[in-house]
Amino acid sequence: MTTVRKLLAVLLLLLAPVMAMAADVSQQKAKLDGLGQQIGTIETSIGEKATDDTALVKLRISLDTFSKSLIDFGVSLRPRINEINARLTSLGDPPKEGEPAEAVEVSEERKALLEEKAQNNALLGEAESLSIRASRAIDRIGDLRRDLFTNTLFQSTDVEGALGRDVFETFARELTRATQQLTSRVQFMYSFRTSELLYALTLSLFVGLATWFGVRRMFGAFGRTGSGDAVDNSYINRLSLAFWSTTVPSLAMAAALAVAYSLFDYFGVFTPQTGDLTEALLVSVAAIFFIQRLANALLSPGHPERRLILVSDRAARVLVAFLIALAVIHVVDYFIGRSNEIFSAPLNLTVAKSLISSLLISAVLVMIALVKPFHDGESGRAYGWPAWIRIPLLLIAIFIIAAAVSGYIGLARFAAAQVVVTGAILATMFIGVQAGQVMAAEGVFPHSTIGTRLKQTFSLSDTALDQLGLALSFVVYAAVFIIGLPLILLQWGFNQLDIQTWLYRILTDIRIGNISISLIGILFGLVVFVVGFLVTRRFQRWLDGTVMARSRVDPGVRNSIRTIVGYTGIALAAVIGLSAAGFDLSSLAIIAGALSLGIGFGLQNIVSNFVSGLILLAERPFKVGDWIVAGNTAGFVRKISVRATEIETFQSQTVILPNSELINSAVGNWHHRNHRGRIEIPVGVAYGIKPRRVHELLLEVASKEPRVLKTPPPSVVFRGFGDSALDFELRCHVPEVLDGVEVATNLRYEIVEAFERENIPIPFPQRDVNLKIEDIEKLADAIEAARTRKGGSRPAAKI
Amino acid sequence: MKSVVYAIAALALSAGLAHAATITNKDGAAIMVTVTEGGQQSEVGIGPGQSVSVCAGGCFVTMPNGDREALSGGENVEISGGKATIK
Repeated sequence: MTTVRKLLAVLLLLLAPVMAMAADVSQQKAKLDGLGQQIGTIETSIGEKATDDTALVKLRISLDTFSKSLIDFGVSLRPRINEINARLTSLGDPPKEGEPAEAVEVSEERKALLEEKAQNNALLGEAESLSIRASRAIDRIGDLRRDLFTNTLFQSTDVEGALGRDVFETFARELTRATQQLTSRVQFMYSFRTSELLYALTLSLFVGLATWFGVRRMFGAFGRTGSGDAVDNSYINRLSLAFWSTTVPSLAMAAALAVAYSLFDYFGVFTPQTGDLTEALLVSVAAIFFIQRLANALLSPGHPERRLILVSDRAARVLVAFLIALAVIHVVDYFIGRSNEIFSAPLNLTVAKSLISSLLISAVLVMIALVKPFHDGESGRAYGWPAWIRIPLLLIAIFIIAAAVSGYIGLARFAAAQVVVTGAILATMFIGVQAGQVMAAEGVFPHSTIGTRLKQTFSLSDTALDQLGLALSFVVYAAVFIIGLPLILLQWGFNQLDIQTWLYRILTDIRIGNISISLIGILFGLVVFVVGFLVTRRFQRWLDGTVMARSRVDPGVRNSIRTIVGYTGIALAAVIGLSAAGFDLSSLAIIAGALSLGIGFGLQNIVSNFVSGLILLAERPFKVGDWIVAGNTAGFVRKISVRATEIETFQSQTVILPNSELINSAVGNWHHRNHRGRIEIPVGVAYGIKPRRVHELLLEVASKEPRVLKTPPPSVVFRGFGDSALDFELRCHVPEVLDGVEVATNLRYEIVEAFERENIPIPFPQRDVNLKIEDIEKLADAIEAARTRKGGSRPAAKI
Repeated sequence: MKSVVYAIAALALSAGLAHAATITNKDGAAIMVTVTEGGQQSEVGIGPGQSVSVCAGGCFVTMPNGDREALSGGENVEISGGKATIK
């Protein structure tokens, strides 16, 4: 018995992998079957809900997730397929004819593996066909929705019939029915599911309170900056206040409502109908809240100093009331519409409510158009909107009324709804664009609240902040259009997925001929370059300031290394950035090849300078700070760049010398190996003075000057017998050639003083003039005659 | 300023990660793969040594040897000897 058990156990152990495999495939199969059923259900509900746009949108979303789960399913098979493939490869191909037969185990295993692989392939094929089915269903939903849209817009309805007496009766009946359903549900929940109801209520209440406190806390600060003691009511601050006080509370509100809804849903409080109804109610509440915040932000009736559209106080109050009225009418219409759909009310009810709401909205529009919001500062007379606002408003109102009265209720309703919804989106975009414009204006951003705070935190300069403001304004523009335009397109019947696809295409794949440009790629490349640039600068600073400064490297070498590191880093960053942006560097090589011809001719000078610059940096015939003489230019080297070298002359003129000149012609460098220099002072003494005494004196003077080097010793050269003097020259070396002029001056003073002490005259050139005139006596007589004529008493000059 | 740059870099990185899958033909001859994406089957020819980008949002691919694969995007597929290796 035990042996049988043991055998059984061994058999089981041997079979385990095979069974696991079978279980695996059948498990996956079951999963795929589940997915197949899912698409079946979705397809049936598309047929059932063909006239319900909201339901179609929901089905569409579920189809998207369904397609994703199909791909996920396919990907989940991959590890096993890889395993099988790897094993098959290691087993090798089956032996061909004539080759020795392989072991039975091997061929068995291969067979099993191939079978499993085929099964997996079949599963994938099935998933593929399911994905095709899902896409077809998505297309069908698109068609259905398009049809629905055109039908609702251009279907003519009998208005008189819709407004008959029975409409009100129907309405009353439907209302009672809805109320009954709701109350009975609430009663049911209250009596049988008390704890769930309580949980949902408490948690939602908690979420609501938390959101409320959070937003209040945040806007406490904003409120203070807006109206506190330090009143800063610059336009940009008003705008940011308006923007944040509209969007943040609205989003918080929407989030809180969504959380509350899902809580109720989670605790099973809703039936499908009450759930949909509550959803519609919550959407309505959020919409009214948003429009109320928006209107208050734009017009702020209570605080004229925060107003963005500068209308009079009275007009602000009236306009806010009108705008909220528009929102309420639209939302009530939406809510009734939804509940009509949910409770499948008769069509004439829907027609009636659309008619009434469209007419009401156009009435409010007319009233808004007729408001006189501005008043003249001098005469105090109120005047109305400019024509470009008033006339379109009136035209839209007339259009809605005309459409409604002539029976195109759907069109009227659509136009009225767009006035409210698109209007609200446009108003928000207006605030955003304005904020962008103001931010981009010069000198505004550094003085705004955010600017001041940034300045304090990051200690930025005003210029940097100004540039940041400009950059931010672009970000704001982009955000406004990227968020706003799709929202408007959605309102006008475009498909969410279409918009997503367009956006994706625009960002990743703009095709021009064979070239595809990816904006994200380019942006990414740019970011990589900027990061590389910053890293290089940082590394340069670290290398120069920390490593090289501490290892006492010569400043000139430091400069060379820093420059080389800088150029290498930037080149690397550029190359990495380019490849990150998706440019093929190999194609760049071709361009470089083509360009090299051009470089050979056109850019010859620049390239030669560039190469010379590299040689200068590597070979270092001179360093920054050296006193060099190149051609007619002499001065200190201030900067060695790759193309040119800056030289500051002693007159403080900066000369930019192309590097090729410094490489191709001789350059004198006073500071190359050492800073030593020789000075020569020529001096002459009168004939008759003992030359050896002069020699001694000069050497004595030189030895007394502390800045003259002892080795090599100063020397005196007796240069020759000049016209009027014996010419000597004192030559001495100074350790710093820059001091040469000063030392020479000192030595000259000393020489003059020493010669004076020793009574050695320094002669100057003398000329003996010999006049040879024949009749000198006659000349003397003539002078004498002239003097006596003048009555002069001075004796004649003796000649 | 730097933190702004880092934030943008992180953003761009995360955006850059969503990529199409790439199929590279390592064989000496041109091959044909069948790509099913968005409900449409299309034959994609890949020349020797060439690579193509397919399906940004996930797709099913049938390889030259009849093997099927599901790609979720971002994979690098190399085909040699008609067999696909996914990286």
